[in-house]
Amino acid sequence: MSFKEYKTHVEMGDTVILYLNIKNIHAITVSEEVKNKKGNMVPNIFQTVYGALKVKDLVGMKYGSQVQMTRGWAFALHPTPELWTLTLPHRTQILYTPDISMVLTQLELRPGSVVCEAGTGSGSLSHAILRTIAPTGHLHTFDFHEQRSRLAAEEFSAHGVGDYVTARHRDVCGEGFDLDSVADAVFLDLPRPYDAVPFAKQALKKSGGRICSFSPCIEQVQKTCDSLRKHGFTELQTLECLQREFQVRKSVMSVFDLSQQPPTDGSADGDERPSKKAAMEERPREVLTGIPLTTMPGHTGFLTFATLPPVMTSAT
Amino acid sequence: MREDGPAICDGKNYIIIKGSFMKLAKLKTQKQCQLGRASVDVAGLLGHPVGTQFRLHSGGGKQRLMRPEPVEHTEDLADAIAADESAADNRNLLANQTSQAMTKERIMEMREQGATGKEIVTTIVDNSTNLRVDSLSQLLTACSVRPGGRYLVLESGCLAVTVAAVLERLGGHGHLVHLFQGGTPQRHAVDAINFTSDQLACLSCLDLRTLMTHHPADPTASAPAYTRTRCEDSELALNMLSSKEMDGLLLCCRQHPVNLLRYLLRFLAVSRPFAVFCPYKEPLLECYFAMKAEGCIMLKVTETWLRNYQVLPERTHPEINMSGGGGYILSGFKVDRSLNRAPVTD
Repeated sequence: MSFKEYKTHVEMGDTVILYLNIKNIHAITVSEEVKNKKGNMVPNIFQTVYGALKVKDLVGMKYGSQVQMTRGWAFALHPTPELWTLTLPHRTQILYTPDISMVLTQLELRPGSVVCEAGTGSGSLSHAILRTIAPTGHLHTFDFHEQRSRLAAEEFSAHGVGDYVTARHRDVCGEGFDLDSVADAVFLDLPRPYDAVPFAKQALKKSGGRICSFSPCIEQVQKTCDSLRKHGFTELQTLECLQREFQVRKSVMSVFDLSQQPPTDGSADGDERPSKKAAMEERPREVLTGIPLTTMPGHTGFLTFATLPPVMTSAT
Repeated sequence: MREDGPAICDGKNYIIIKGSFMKLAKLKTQKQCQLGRASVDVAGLLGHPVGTQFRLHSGGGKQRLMRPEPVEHTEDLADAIAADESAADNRNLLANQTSQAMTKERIMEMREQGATGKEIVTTIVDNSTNLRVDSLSQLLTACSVRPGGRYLVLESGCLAVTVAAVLERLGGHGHLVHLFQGGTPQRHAVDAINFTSDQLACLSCLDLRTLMTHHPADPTASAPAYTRTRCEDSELALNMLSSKEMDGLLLCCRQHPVNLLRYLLRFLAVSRPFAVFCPYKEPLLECYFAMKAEGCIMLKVTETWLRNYQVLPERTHPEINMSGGGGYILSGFKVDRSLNRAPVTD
């Protein structure tokens, strides 16, 4: 329930983001019991590297507070779409925050926007869109996979945002959106987005709108741009957006001392060596460094944006 | 049949695009609209839906006043190139007089439509802080800006772009306190976007020194009394900040952010994010350690890399030039480190 608006304390039914360390962040649904793999209801105990946590004991805790466990502690964070993206169960490859950020901005989403999204996938982008267009907007989201569509709908409902979204099991490339002139923006993350372009045009408002297509492959991008131009979309823009993270640390570097000259007469004996070494180095220096991680995501997908101008109406 | 959305009105601000030339302008019938070397007769633009494409016809006279005509069919420069078979391969171009003549005609046509390519793009972002659209979009998600939330933004040198962006995302729900330092708060971007009065009601401005008078950085010392400047909504803003329960903190200023961040963190609620933009990385490394010392978690220093592509049949490639850097962002979460004992189970 805590996706709808900010609250201060954990309640039953909330999704809590449990932060143990940067590599260990989990989304937990707060309930007394949980279904195990065999389908039986068992007490909801979450096992972590720092010990076990009785999930129902989170109820009443203030969000942002420290949770003590056997061998350490964690933090109970309030969910946000950004934290959800990092912790959600993957049913498909998902969009991450750097791309999501560009989509929200370039589609000009704001409270009241009506958006069509295909496919729903794991609901990563969906949650970010819902947050941005609430409380007066609406998201129509489609997936051609029945189970994924259903799971997404269940999640939206459990997260308290069911009123702002209509999740449908439908193949928009074959059957269209079944929507006419309602959307301010359309987002496509499909294997063949070009097939959905004419339907997207029909779904967009007659006063115009924005479209975005996300595709990992350049061939998809080329065909989509072709289709967009053919259907009267303008201001086509294809881009890549990558985020580079820096490893921040205080590095200690030794410094060669240029002022000390080593003895040249070769008379040094074993006892003198340590001090000779010390004399050739200044006090080490602590340097604040931020270097890129050794590997970074090099490609997620190409984002293609375009505008449907108001003068173009869909052919009837 | 055209269903009209918002119409182009006299006295409002619009982004005008001519090829790759982009300009923010307030349309006034008494004045012409200047687009590069050409002037456009504003009267011909009014009343048409926002987003309409116009074809510019050369007018007479020394002023080169152009007359806009709304067009139904949109011809992209790229369309013209794609349709031109000779462009696929230029080996015959010089030799063939006919194709050369056709190309020339098309180029002139495109010039009339305004599809030139190399003019300077004007934006409303101030160069001194080098805040690019991708960095701005990351700031908004780093702070999880949502309608209904309460945000504290300290901004200088960005012409209020960050303030305007957050205000747009609030959409009339929630609140934004814009902290400024002396003089008057920058308002360019806020004024440029035609916000409704409901949306503007979410914004209040407060001088940082006024805030410090009421909430001294050092609680033991008394801050010197500071005369309120005219442009503040201090009562509203102070009431909001005094609760120390803001949902997000955004810093985007010319100064080194470290002591400002240390000071303003106290107004942020726990389990809420902050994000700091800086054109340089090094100050953010210091802020990283300062926030670590404050007990913050999920600290991250990032930069975004943006590359545009030209997508045309047989001629798809990244664009030749790309922006070298768009600044850096430090983000993190404030938490409460007073231990909460959860009954443990082994």
